[in-house]
Amino acid sequence: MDNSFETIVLGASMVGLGYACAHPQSLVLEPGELLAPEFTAAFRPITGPVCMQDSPLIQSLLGAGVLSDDGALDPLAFSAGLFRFAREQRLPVLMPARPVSVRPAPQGGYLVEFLTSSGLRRKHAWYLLDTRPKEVCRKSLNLLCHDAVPDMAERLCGAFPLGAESLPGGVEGESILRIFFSPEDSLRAARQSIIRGWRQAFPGGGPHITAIAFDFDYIPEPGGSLQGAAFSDPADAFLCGSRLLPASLPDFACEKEDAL
Amino acid sequence: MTLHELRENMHSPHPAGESAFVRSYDIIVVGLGTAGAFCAIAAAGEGAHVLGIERNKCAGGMCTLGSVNNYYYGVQGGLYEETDRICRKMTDVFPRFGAFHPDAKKVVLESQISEAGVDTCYDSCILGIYEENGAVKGVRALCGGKTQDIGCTLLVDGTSDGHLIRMLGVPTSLGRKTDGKTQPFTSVRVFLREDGSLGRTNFDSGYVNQYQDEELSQAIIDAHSHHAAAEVLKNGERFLYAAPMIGIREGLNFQGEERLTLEDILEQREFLSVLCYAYSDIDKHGVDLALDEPLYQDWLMLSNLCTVTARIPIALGCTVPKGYAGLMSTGRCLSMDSYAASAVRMNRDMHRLGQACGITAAMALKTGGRVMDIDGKRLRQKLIEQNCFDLPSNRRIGFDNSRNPNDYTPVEWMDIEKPGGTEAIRAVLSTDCPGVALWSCRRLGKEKAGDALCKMIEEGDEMLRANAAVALGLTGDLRSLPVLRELVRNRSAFFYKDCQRCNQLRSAIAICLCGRLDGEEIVPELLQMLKPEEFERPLYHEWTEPSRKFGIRRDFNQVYYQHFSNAAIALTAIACREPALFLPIRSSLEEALQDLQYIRRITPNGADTSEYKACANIWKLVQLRLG
Repeated sequence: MDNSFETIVLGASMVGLGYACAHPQSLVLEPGELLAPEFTAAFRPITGPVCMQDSPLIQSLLGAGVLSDDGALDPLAFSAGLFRFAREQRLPVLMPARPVSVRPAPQGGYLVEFLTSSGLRRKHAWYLLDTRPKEVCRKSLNLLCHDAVPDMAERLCGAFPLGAESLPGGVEGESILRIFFSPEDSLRAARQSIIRGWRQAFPGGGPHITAIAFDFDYIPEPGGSLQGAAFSDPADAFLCGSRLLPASLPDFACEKEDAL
Repeated sequence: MTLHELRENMHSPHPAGESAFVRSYDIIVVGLGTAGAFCAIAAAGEGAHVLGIERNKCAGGMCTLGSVNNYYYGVQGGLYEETDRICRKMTDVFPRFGAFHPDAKKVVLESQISEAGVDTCYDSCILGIYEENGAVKGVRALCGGKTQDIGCTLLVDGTSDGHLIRMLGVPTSLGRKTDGKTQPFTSVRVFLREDGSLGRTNFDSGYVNQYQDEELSQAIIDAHSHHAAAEVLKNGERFLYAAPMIGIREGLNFQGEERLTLEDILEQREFLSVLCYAYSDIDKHGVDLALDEPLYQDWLMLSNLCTVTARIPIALGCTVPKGYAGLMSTGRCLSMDSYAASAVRMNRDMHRLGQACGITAAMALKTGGRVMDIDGKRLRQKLIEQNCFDLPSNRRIGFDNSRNPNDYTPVEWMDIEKPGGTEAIRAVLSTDCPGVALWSCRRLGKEKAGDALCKMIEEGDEMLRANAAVALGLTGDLRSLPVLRELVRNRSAFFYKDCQRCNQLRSAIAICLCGRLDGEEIVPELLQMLKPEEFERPLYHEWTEPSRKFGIRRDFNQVYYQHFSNAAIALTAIACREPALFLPIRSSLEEALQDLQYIRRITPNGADTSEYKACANIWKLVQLRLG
């Protein structure tokens, strides 16, 4: 592995992947084992057509059959399509790779220390792009459901203090249910809460949770930002990332030792 | 005190001075996965003050995040039965799915960990280990985004890949001795069937050295990308997700206070200090048997005993790196050889081993963290009381149907010296299920069995003649060669029938044995097998074996692969044994293999697939052996 990169990208978000696609001298560090986890780990619903501006991503997703010509993107099969794209493009992603610290480098730029299966590594980068999700005021833990009942959302809202909503999934009969939680709720507590709430909403049994998302869905703030979780359209996020220029990236605040 | 780190895959110790541990625990369990979760729960249940540190955002490891939610052999009993019982009661929330729904188990395990009083740090990792005079003192951890030094009396490596073991610089080894390869890894896909039921499938994705981070990253991307193939996404199943934890089946093993080998398992040896028992077949997910070590080949291929299960003792010392105090390993990273590792990794056994290690760790607090000094009798008593010691039944070695526990046939090795022994062996060798007799003859050796087998070759019908020759070859007796050469020349695609799956080809067996025993006479025939025109033979294009996995598939020609790979390796072995043949054989092998065109006769799959790599490994091993 090289010792220096033009840019180190924190998080294999769609913004980060778009940037890395446009700037091959980058290294993307992703702590988990999914690409675009803000979508794929969170089962984030993708409602409405995505931005169809031509790009290698769009071509690849069309070719994989997970994106239709009119912009309908399957929110679940998208994950598989994205891995295919990453393989085709040989995207410079390292996973699992957990950032440990960032310090100013004597020669300029940053020294980034991170942990992988090979142990600790320390690499230099002239620029840093942090796309990891920022805590926002709203987050949800999403559920897949394939036997929803008509008054699903109403019953769930009654069971969960911060409410819930039901959105269509990628195929007929599939629902993505958003159960809202407060910023301080942990994933473990949220999962436990979902079991209790589900039983309260459907006391005699009824619909089932096909799967619980692997991570929270951080609800995008209007207008988006560089933070990877801030886009509701993955293609748009990818495009925005690809248009970023290294010199335009904001400085990373790394005064404190435990910057991460 | 020394702080041990792993940097760029190198053990990196530094003098640490006196560390200020911000907090201390009796036991720190790193990795709350299939084994680690139960280790933490059990240790806390014994009154220990326990911290669990987990890199993922949930507990359970492969059985939850990895979506490996079925049971394959393993021993019943122990804490995990209660976990599963609670999961089964959650069918009002989750649909039925395998032995347990992964999300149900996730929720239940996390609840049990919490109720046991275990402190936890999820989404956290270990950066270093503090050690003094051979005793672990604590860890440097990244918890909640902050670096903290945390003390402990005993540290348990539940990472399953021995990441802490490596960090400390404990001597380790990886993979089989022939070429260092481990079991293939898997990418699990979860989907919804057309009838609305949930399903999962393993996509065996090739080989990876998970300790090379770039290689691991590429392997994850390549493996998951196959779920986007048209035949996957358009086959009527609804793709839900690729499991966000890749299915590594084998990691490093270390030098422990005791060591478990394949030979120990096959000979059913006992250890003085058994911690608990596992139960499995000697599981093999790859197809490259020609590249495996001889003992494994003898069992799995030459004796066709793939699905024979065995009761496997895990000695206490297999969990303790040699010379260390305050350190244990649980899960599939133990002190054992690569082939024992293929049998000691099943879900049930990992749950139980974790529990046993937790109980052990708690007891070791009384001996200052020195696990090998604990009261072995008291430990065994506790393990028996908590139902995580031994198999409930008298199963030792036998044919066990993993889908039907009532379908079990114990195996007893045959003895030619017992009254009726020769006739019994003869009777079994006269069938298409000769496995037990073959291995029995191997155990007896050529001194005891050789003459009787020669007589069977002289007098027997075609089946007995062939099988007796295989048995004789297994003993290393050169009198087997005339018939073995005949089997090679005839190339009969005859599969044995001992096992419910993965039965072996007798002609491939004969090629392997000729490679071990023969010389110049068989070389032309073996070279012929490597030529492109060999592939035109009808035997490589006719479906003769209905068993799962073996046969001639569109994406992998198993029959041709087994002949080709065994021929290449047999030639390599002969070349190494016969100096006069070394150069001509090497030259012929280069011509046949170097351009890798042979691979396309076996599989059309890409270079990043398990099938392609199984083929490419042949040339790699030839180069390794012949230079």
